[in-house]
Amino acid sequence: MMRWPTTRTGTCFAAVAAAVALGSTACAGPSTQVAAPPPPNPEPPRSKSAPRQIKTDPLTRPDSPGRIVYSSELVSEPMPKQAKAARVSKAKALGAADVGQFGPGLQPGTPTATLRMVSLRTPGAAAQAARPSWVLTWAASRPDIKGPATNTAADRRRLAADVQCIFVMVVDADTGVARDARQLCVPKP
Amino acid sequence: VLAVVALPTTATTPAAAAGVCGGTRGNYFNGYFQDGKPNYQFEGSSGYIVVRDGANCTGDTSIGNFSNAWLMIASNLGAPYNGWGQVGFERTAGFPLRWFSQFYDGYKALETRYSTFPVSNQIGVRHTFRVLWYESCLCLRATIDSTTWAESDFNPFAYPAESNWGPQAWSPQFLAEAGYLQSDVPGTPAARTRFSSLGAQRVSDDRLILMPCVLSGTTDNPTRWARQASSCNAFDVWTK
Repeated sequence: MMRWPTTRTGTCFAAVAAAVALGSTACAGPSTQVAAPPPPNPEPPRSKSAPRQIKTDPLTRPDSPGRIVYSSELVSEPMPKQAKAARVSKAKALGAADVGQFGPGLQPGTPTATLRMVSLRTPGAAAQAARPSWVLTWAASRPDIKGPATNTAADRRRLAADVQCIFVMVVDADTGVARDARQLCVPKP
Repeated sequence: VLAVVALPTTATTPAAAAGVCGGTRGNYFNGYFQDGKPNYQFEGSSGYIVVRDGANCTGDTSIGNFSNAWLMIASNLGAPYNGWGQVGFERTAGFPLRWFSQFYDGYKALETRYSTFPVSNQIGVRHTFRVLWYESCLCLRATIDSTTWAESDFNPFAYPAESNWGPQAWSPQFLAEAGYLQSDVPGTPAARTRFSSLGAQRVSDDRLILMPCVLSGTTDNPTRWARQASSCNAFDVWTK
């Protein structure tokens, strides 16, 4: 259900609406404030601040003998020894139509291509069964820093200088279809 | 209870062609955001955005030459705090329009997901974009319509343990953006990028409410870009 806060008057709403249209906020100044500001909300309940404690290791070598947690949604594991050969070759995976569509900034140079069992989880849903997939990894991907209008250019430059990034694409080894594309950045050592 | 403001109509001249890239590559904005005052306490944002395209300026084929539109919940504003969760659509120079999302914990982990498929066939279609906090995962989830697109690996409330978002108030933001002032933001006079039913998720009860009248506008290139609010929670942006 949509609800308006009850602490402001219609007069103030109208004034602010006009101000928003004109690029300012009328109720921010004391001279135009016609209702008391809303009382501060209570601190977040304690349960809200529990950490997720997800340990990711996106910079692990893609051919690592162990599990690689790129993010909570993307995990790869080595292929089982008895696995059948992939239907889609490495060359075909690298040449898939969807690959290489992000440009040399995100995808600099030649990627490593590693056949892995990859679990992609839709957030909020149960994990899908792991599928044999080519994990294409571009090292030294240029940080793609978006962020709020309220960040400064210096904030963005600082973040760009502080992180190292990889670009990862997952191509299904049975169908050749790209399943996922993401950039993952962690602090420089 | 929407307070609608009558404003002059805008001439429907064709959009200017994107120019040659010049000046400093950066992040230039056109839209509305909450600047953290007054002290409303929000943990998520929501809205409809009509998908539009924006031409990139010429002469720079890097990822820094982009045009996009999105919504976001950002951290407490200003140093030492930082962090955000956002979702929207974007074109970078030479490549198709795509969905994207980005989460930053403010400390160490920056994750961007891109659609592997173009979304040019969605131009003109209104989609629901949301970044909301979920108790079930203690995380932010970015959704596009009914599809959960991505989630944060961190809990923004877990400050300082695993986020540097800081205390409330956090900032809902609804913006179009370009990497150069010579690029087009999405939308033309005849086919504007419409943001509507803007909402924010309250910290106190996790409920989504219509965005109160607390947004401030910004247009970094008013000569080239336009914005027009029709109420406290609906506005258009476009390239003139």
